[in-house]
Amino acid sequence: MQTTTNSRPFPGYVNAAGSYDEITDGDGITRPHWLKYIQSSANLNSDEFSRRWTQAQRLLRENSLAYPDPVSWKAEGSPWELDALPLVIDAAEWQQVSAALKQRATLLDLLLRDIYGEQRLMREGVLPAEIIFGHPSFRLPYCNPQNSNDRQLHFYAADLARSPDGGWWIINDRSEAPSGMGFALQNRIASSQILPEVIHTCQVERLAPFFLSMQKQLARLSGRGSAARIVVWSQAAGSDNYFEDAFLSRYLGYTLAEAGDLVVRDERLHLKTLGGLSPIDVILRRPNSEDCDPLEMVTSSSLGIPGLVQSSVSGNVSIVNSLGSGLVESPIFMAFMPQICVALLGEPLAMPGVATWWCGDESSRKMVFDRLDDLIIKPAYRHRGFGREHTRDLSQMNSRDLADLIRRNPGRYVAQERVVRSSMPVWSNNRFEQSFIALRSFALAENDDYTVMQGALTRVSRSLDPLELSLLEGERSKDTWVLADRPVRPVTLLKGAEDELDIRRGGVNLPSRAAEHFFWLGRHAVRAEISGKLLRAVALRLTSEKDPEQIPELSMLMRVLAERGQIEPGFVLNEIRDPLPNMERALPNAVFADQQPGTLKSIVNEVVFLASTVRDLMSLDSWRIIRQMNVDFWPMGKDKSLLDVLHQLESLLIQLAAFSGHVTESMTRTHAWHFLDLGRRLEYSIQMVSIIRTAVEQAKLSSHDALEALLEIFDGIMTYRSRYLTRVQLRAVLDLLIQDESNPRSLAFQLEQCLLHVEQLPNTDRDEEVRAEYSLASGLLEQVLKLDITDIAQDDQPHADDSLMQMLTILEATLPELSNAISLKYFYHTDPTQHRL
Amino acid sequence: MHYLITHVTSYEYPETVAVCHNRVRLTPRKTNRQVCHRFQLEVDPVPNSVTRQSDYFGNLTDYFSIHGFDQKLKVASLSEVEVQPSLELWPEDSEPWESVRANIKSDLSSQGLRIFQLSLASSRVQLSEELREYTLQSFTNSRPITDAVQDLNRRIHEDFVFDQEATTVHTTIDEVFQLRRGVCQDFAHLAIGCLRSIGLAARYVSGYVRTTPPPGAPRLVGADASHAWLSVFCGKLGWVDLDPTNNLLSSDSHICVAWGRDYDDVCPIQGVFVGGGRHELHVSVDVIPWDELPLQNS
Repeated sequence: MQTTTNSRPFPGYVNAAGSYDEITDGDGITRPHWLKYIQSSANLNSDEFSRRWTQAQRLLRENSLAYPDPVSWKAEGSPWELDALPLVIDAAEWQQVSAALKQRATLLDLLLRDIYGEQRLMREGVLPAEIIFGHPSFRLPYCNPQNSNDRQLHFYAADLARSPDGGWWIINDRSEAPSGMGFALQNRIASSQILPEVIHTCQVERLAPFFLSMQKQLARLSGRGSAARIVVWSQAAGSDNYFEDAFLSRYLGYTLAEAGDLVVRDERLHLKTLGGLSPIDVILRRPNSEDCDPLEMVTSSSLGIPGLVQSSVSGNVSIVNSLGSGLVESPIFMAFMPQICVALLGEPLAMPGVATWWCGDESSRKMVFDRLDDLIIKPAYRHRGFGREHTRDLSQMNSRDLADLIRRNPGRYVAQERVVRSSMPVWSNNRFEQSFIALRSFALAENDDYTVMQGALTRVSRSLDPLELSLLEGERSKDTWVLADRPVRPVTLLKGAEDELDIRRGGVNLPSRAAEHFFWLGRHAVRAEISGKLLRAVALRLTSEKDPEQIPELSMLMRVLAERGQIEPGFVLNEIRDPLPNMERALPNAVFADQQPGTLKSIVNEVVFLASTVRDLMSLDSWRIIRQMNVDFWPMGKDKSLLDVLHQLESLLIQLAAFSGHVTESMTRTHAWHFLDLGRRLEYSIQMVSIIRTAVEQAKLSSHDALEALLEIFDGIMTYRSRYLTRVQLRAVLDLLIQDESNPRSLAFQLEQCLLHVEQLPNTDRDEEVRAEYSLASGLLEQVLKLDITDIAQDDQPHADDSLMQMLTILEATLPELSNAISLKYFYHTDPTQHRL
Repeated sequence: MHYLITHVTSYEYPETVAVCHNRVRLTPRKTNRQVCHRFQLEVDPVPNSVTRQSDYFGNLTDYFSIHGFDQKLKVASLSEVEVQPSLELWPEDSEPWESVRANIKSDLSSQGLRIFQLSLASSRVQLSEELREYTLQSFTNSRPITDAVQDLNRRIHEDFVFDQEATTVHTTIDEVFQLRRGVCQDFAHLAIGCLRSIGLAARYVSGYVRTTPPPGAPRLVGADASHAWLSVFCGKLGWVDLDPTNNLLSSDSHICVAWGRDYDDVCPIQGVFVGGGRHELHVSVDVIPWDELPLQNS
């Protein structure tokens, strides 16, 4: 493509009148800093570009940080879908933006020090005392005279927008625990995959130096240099930011922890690991301040780490950002920022904040009432994670109601000027369309100053509604390219090659919660597999040409399903004849009823959830399998036929097999592996015992078909036939399924593996005898091995007093005991609930 | 008056407690008419360490944690306190309440800001139009503040019934206002809400009242547990203590432990327990005048 300065590089894109165009100036001339991008990307033919973009989109989806909730996973699109076209910003302009962001971060830090320290601004009348003391996030435990001397704000993010005259405005301050850095990084990784040569030619500033500074800063705070013990404290799995937290902690090399992983002992913060309590120097905090310590935040929920505030006051842990830092995110501070800047820094703001008026001030209120139709009314106090709906409701009220609302409680509202954000094209439906952009930019404390990320997360929206409202509609993001005025040097977060690494093995510092989740992931994966096989066995038989009454094992299979909650018990009670036609219709729904515990869908959901909580500890490919499973295993349409379900069961079973195969091959044999596989073996044993027992009780074991169904469920058909051809007999089947240690699906094999795993678990008890889990595991294996198969009546139905039934009864009682013993010893901390007085 | 005070709180749990973290506010604070000569805190089982700090309002707090203990926890405090009677209030010394209110808004000194902070709603004291109307019946135009305050104190005592069954720690003052029933904590919150709703400053006070009354006087309500009342800021006269539960201005029968915006700031024992199951709680308080102590103890 020939490019000249006045050709239209983005056909189809027309800028809306009134907003600043990022790419062309008022005369339609391309802005100079875009030329390099346009020229170098023009060398790519559009097919190649499309292909790479599709590829990058796929990778992003698979690795996406933005899917918090497995249940709503299927919701259309991702809120942070990447747009193919980056925002390009030139070096000189970014320098100005950076300087303004540094000033803003410095200012907010001093403001926090003042509010929680000596409160000079209130005494001098710069800040009305009412807005601090009346602020719902102002909590007394954050106040400490010492705060005036210590940095309160380590991370800061600002949402920026460019107004029609080309100037940048700060539209939001984010100081609690700003998110988005992970998305910015992920966008860069993706765009490097799409346009590596373009990034190179344009000399785009890298993001890695920012994260390197972050590592250095946190290490400095610890006072222990490279030996710093740092954790990222995430909100629980399922929260909005969880995947970003997991991604960042992995990228930065820190342990990802939840409140349940952390404990205060003797006024020191510790991470609970399998190897014991491990002290923590720095905690990168993601939850809101008021959810940090239930001992001190009396009116909040019981979330958090009891004693954390005390350990921080005692100087034993650095909390980043400091508790209470979110206070100044509230829009109300925007109204006072020009005065605050002069009072604290003795200079004017380098970048204006969006014009804001506090309705609690009488003269401002009058002005607001005069201009109610042009202004945006927002709650004055922000509570991170809440209030979007409130802002939206306010935006939909008519001016009279709005004025009444404000009059009743003027101090609770602010009015803000609408910012007409700048616009640029997005690539959508194979053409360029117009969109408005805002930048989330990041600053980080570094020594006595701040450093600014040379890049940002550009957020794209179709409407000019306030950012928090357009977010609700779901939006896209763009990579942000800050052009360097010199060649860019590569930087990596990997430790320098010259440093000699200590060789390390094992992983005693696995958080107990992660161990617990691996254990239950193993259990649920097997539970899903066995349930899937049972359902498949039933579905296969129901779709066969045989009359169901001619299928003697069907009633046994259905009884097993009913006992697992897979189908309604009613199907088993009324004997076969009547319910069967219903069964064909009911089974598809039974499989996908995710609200009922025990159904296959709910088990699969659990697998996905548990895997997501330990995602940072398993390989990317293992996670991809899980992710795909969750995408695929959804009901298809309203009228599902049994054949559809059968098809879905088949692919689920293949994915489960792929997952178990992949973790077996890829996981190092650390504690995480032992707990995962222990969970699998234990669950397999539990399932096997219960299914065989049901079969025996149903007195169907004399039936050739029932025995064959058992072989089918436990993967034994092929081996059995190679040994005995088509003669199916009880003793031979039981030998293969129960006692044959060379069969990796036999009960004996499972229990042998359980014992091996238990031996590998960390252990501080000196005396082997007190290890409950060890004696339980070895006892279980002994029970199975001492069973004399030849004792079992061959063709008669086994009786309750048989040695087989006795063994099954003992196992049925002892297997859960083993599971409990392991939970008590290794996960206990995560279990008991907290009480508050 | 000179008192010896014992305050014992025992918890019983059905199971072993994995860990508990506690912050207690049990040390009687120093005020302009009260001195604490001696304070001992005994915790059983004995924690590794007890850390003492003063909080935002200058109350003394002790923090401790205990790891793994069987079923019983006892927190006992022993204080020896001397209290001076309060001066009698004369209406002619007292400013009109409106001028007190105006000064609260305009005084930006450190002290002034603390007073202003106590004129705002807080987590357990939500303000409402109903409260304001109720209060204004006592706060008529230019009425001397101490008069108006005592009138409000009397009305709350008359209009509300002391009833230990009617409310819980979670009952809001709006609900108390509707129910017209409650305990000392509710009445203190209610009176604070009344005063703040008209722009005055009031603080919640936790403490004790003497267990046995002086000869001829009735036994005060709230004597066998922690008691709660309030202080209202009266301009030049400073803070005046009111006990709406007993329709009294507090005097030397009241021993102040801590004050704050409301109960949440002064909770005598705050704790978070992990494990243990549902606990049972026993509290006993004894406030004995020094000269009534058995000889061997003095």
